[in-house]
Amino acid sequence: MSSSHAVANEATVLHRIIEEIAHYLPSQGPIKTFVHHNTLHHFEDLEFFDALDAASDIYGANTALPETTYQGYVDQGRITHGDLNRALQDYEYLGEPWIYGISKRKIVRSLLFSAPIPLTAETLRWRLLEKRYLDKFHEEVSPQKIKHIRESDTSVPEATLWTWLTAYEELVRDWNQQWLHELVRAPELAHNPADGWSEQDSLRLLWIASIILARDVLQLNPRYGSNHHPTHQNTQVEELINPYLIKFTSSFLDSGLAHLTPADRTHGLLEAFFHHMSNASLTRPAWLRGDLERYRGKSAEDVISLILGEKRVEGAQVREFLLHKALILKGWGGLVHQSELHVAGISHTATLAEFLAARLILETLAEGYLEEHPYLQSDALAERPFEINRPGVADVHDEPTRIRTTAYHLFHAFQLFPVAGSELLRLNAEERSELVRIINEFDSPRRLRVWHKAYEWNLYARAAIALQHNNRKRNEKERFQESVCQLVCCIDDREESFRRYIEEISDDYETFGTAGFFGVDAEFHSLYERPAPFCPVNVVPTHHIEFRPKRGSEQRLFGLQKINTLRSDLDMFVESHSRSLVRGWLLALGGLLALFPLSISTLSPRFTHRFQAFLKRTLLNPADESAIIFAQEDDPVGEGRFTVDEMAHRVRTLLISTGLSKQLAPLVVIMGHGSFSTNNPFRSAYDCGACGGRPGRMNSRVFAAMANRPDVREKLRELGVQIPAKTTFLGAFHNTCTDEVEYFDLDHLNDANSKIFDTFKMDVEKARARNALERCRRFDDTKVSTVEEAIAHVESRAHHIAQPRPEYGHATNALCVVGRRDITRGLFLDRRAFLVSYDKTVDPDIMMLRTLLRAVVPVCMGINLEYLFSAIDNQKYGAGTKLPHNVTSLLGLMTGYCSDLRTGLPAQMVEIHEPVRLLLVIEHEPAKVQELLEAEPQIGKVIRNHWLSVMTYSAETNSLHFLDHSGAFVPFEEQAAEVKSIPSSLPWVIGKREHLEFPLIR
Amino acid sequence: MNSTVLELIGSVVFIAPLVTLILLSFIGWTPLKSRENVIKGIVATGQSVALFCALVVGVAFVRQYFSTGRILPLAVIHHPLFSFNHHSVDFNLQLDGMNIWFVLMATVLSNIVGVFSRHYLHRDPGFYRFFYLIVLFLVGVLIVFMGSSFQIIFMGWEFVGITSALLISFFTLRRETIDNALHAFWAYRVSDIGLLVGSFLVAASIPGHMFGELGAHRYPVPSELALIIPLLFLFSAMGKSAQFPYSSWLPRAMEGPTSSSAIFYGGLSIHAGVFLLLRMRSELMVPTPVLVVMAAVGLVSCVYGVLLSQVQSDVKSALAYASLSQVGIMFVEISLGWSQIAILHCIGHAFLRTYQILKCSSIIHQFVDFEDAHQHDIDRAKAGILPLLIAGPRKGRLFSFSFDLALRAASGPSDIVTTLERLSRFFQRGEGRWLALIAGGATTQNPRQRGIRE
Repeated sequence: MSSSHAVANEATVLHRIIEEIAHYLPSQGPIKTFVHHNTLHHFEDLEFFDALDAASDIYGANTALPETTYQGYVDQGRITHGDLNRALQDYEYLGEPWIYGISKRKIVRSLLFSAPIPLTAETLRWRLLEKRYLDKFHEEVSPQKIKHIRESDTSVPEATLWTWLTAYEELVRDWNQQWLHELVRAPELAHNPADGWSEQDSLRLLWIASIILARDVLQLNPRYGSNHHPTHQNTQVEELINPYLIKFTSSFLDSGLAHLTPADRTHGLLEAFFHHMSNASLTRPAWLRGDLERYRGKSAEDVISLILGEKRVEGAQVREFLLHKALILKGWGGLVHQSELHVAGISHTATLAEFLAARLILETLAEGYLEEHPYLQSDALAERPFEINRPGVADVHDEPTRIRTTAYHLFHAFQLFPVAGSELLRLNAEERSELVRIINEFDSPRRLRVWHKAYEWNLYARAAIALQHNNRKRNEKERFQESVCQLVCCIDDREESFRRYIEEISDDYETFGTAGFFGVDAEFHSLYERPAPFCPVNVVPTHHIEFRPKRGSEQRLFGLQKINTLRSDLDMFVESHSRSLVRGWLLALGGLLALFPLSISTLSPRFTHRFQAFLKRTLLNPADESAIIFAQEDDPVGEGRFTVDEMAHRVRTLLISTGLSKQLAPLVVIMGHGSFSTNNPFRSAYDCGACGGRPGRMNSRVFAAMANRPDVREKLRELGVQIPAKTTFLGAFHNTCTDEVEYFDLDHLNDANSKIFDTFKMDVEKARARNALERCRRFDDTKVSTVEEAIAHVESRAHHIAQPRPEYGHATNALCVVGRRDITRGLFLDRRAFLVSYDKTVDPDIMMLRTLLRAVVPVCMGINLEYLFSAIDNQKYGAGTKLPHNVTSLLGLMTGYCSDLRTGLPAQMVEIHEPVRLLLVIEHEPAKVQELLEAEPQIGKVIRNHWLSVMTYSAETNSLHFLDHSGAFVPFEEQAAEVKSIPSSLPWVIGKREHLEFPLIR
Repeated sequence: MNSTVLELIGSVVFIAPLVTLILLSFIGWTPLKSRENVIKGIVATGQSVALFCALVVGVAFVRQYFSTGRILPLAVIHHPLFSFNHHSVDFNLQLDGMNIWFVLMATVLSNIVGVFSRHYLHRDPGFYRFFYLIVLFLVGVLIVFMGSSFQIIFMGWEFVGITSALLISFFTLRRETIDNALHAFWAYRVSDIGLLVGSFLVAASIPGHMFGELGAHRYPVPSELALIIPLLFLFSAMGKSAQFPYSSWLPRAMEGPTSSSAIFYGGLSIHAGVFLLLRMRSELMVPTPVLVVMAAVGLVSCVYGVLLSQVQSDVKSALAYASLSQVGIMFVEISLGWSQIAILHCIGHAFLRTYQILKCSSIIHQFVDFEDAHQHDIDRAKAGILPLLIAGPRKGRLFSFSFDLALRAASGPSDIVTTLERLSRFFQRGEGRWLALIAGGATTQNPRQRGIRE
């Protein structure tokens, strides 16, 4: 009785451990609906940089860009010394003179500018001797200083010198490098020449001091200088079992690619695996023929605990052991866990426990086999470490390498202090240990933090200054008149430029930003798509909306749908039957026909675009559109339909929170967005995040239809929101890849609105062309300079089957401004800002702001952090280069023919991205925002842990407050003499590829 | 058209890519190497000139056929290489009624893949390397298709092999890519022996021969070699075309950029074996036993390929296995003497498969479109005759059989190429020990080597 209880208990413990481990695996769902999320979501309880270090321990990933990159930014002016000083303020390195008149801050700054590189003895020799680093001081050291150093070295008594030399000899004895010994045996060093020390002699002594101090540092912290993470893997076993596990899991989860799949997939992965293993197969590899009886019929947890018992893994080791096993194929493990959570789009369910159990069983079999057949055991091929050791790159675990690396790093830094070798070695014990402590404390992770903060601050400060100046400029101008047309876009950073161009064209237009599902949280049943929820992933829609052919056009629409079906049937026919025998043969005989699509899609992709547009124009007339079914009265049996109250509520929320309700223009265009690109598995990542990684085409349409309904308007009047009778809402859709805009349900327009709409439509055409041109500046494979070329280019880009970057998506995103458009209108934000319309004047109790941020923070932060992590370590956090990607199971991508599932973003999507944390600018009082952070624990947590940076802005006082590392709002005080001012955006962007300043538009 | 002019134009088909290659080699030493525009300009010019000239020759051939009823081989390049013992090896290239189709296919596909790659590879650090290898490959494949003797074909054969292996290992960040490239290289090296030995045997028995010289007559091969030469060629063709039992390298080759996978394993390289067999069939008397073996290899391969293609759950492996099954059918066609059909099949298949591999990333959205159009989730159990014929437990068994077969190819010591690889390492170690013994030094043995001896 008690023993069975113990067993049950053990299973629960194991279950809990596996549940916990699952959080360390990527939580990306099927790639056909790609939703951006924080790659390190599970670490959000930690402070941002601590989380990065913790994650780095687990995944072996970088925590920031390489130090040398940041150093390069200083030369480019991207990081200034002021930024560095500000970043150093968070640490207590005082500016007062300390040893030999050098302050601690100066010491750490010198350490920043000298990045350690793992060095073999040969590279060290090359650097010191061949590159003559032992002959001349760093160029920043002044001649007076060198003279001083030489004098200081001359005064060393010979006996002291000898002790140092002996210590040095001892340290480098095993390196087998004659020149190192010769260095100190040189008579002029040992005998303290009478005519004073030469520059070379002093540098040699500095080198000796560096070696000795490096030893002290390493004694203090044995891990110093090594931020590399060993992978303890039995490579040969992995080589056997990983392909098996990958292919089996992929077959199990497959949702349509394979024609032959495991026979029974309803009872989980392990069951399917046992079933597969029980099929006597002639072709089974020998290593898999071991005995499985003892595992059969057991649950996954039981199998795991059985194997853990066999391997004598107990207690606290269990978690470590299983985590390590889960991380070997973390992408696949993550996908399996997603299926366990019943994420939409994965049709078969497996559990992580089953996945781990299958891995452990396979491991046992492989190990047993290799033990029985020792001659198969590893040869030269399998003994290689998991990651390729590049020639000339030293092994960072090796003791001498670490001394060399640290010493070389210090040698460089000491010259920047600058200080003499003898001075360093003559420090008293207290000073010396303090110096060693500082060096140790200011190790690579901390240096990277300082660099990264400086890098971010530079951008934040520029944005903040631009905001302040923009306000000044605006105050000088008079308020613009009542607008004729209002455009409501998604908050997306890609719409920033589009809105800017619309506003530049005429002051009659006003733009707003709100989450791109426009509050319509529903499942859509349309003619052309399967029912799907078009709303944020954390919202479970309870309503559905049906699109139905209008009376009289059923015939045409169903006919069109039939054509559509035939086309995709043909595609699928070729796709699947080209893999069979006889039909494959027939298809291949007619394969010459493939030359047409092949050459058109590579040589003239724009033809495809034009052809499609032509078909649409001729076959579909506007009156054909389907009708939207909303409410009970249209369909008595319809359940889950929106009632008038519900519709009114949704319309009201949007109108008030954006500030639209104050003054509605005659025409209000609601514009959703999405992106079309061909041959791009990441297409969904370019779609609207607020619509769950889908295009927001129908949402805008539905919202406009709701707001146009007389009964809804009636209800709104009761709720205190007046919609003037002349106002019409119009749904529209912006394709961010081709920059096309389409409009829906034009029959809502009355005569007066029609005129406004005609002008607006023409202006949109201009705006989209300019927008396309601005986007083209980032595509460095094209040199378009006119708007016509730009349109042609983006259209063909979208349809090009060879294009790995049809658009750049959210790359370069860095800011999020929550406030009235007034504060950002007339400011060039370089497509880097999420713009959320929020009117604080109607929201004194911040209830609206809370609702808004609950949606905005996770979405924008998710996008920002996914880009950030994929950019700082594209291999570990991102998906690597797109070029060898291989679609598997229709759910994800592998690199090459058999690899771990690649999650995150590919290199092509993040190559122009600046990995900075999002700066959230909220237009409200600091006190109110503090209050909000208290009231909203989820938002408060991520903000207090600095996963995003926060500033508040007040238009009245034109002042900004920054939430500093201690969690208090401090006034932003940096000043810029002048902010650039430009007449309009277009001349400013043409011909520039790089990230731009934020100038004001006159 | 004057035949000298035509010969000149025909020679440009080969010379244009060759000049491109030489230019690229020089550029490799200059800073221009990192200028994408320069590289793609040079490559596009070379490739399109080759295509244009091939088209001109093609049109001239068609006219010739309609006016005279036959096509005379056109010797486009003649260059003596070396001679020994009254044997001479000349670098002769020719265009004739058979290989013009293959030359056209090669130039068209390399143009298309060239255009594709200049967008696809943009900003990749290996841009220059990729195009260098693609041009080298084009030169190689043109030598294979245009070569006038088996010895010349062998030269091109080697270029194709080495560029293939280097492009598989294009991305060196992962260890697997290099292992897989090595795997493919092994398969090539082993199978190349057939063509090397075979071509010299042909040259030795029929000195100074050129393809098509004797019109419809085939070379009389000495009877003691009549069986062995075709077998050797078949052996080589099997390796290059990934026929059973060499198939394991083909899915592994899908590690490079998609565009190189397309032109090699969908388009040209995979069909080089077919071309060799077509040449052999038209030039030599192939005895019936060899034809039977050829048909058997083709049949086994196409069943193998279809089965494994059905079980693959990733798009590139599925297409790779599907390719080798179609090539298997081509082997059967050739063995039956249906050369015309084999040529049509080969060219059609090359275009179709190249297109499929190039656009393989769109498959997700193709499925989404399909499901949207039909408004329901897809049920793929119905695709193909094979899964229809068998249901229930037998289907499970078929899955297990094919899955394990596929995994034999994917990993583990049970695969034929791996075995050969291991064997050679064993010999290498043995040699090392011998040397050490001769040198008189004490051998430092590790326990594993002792294990082998036991």
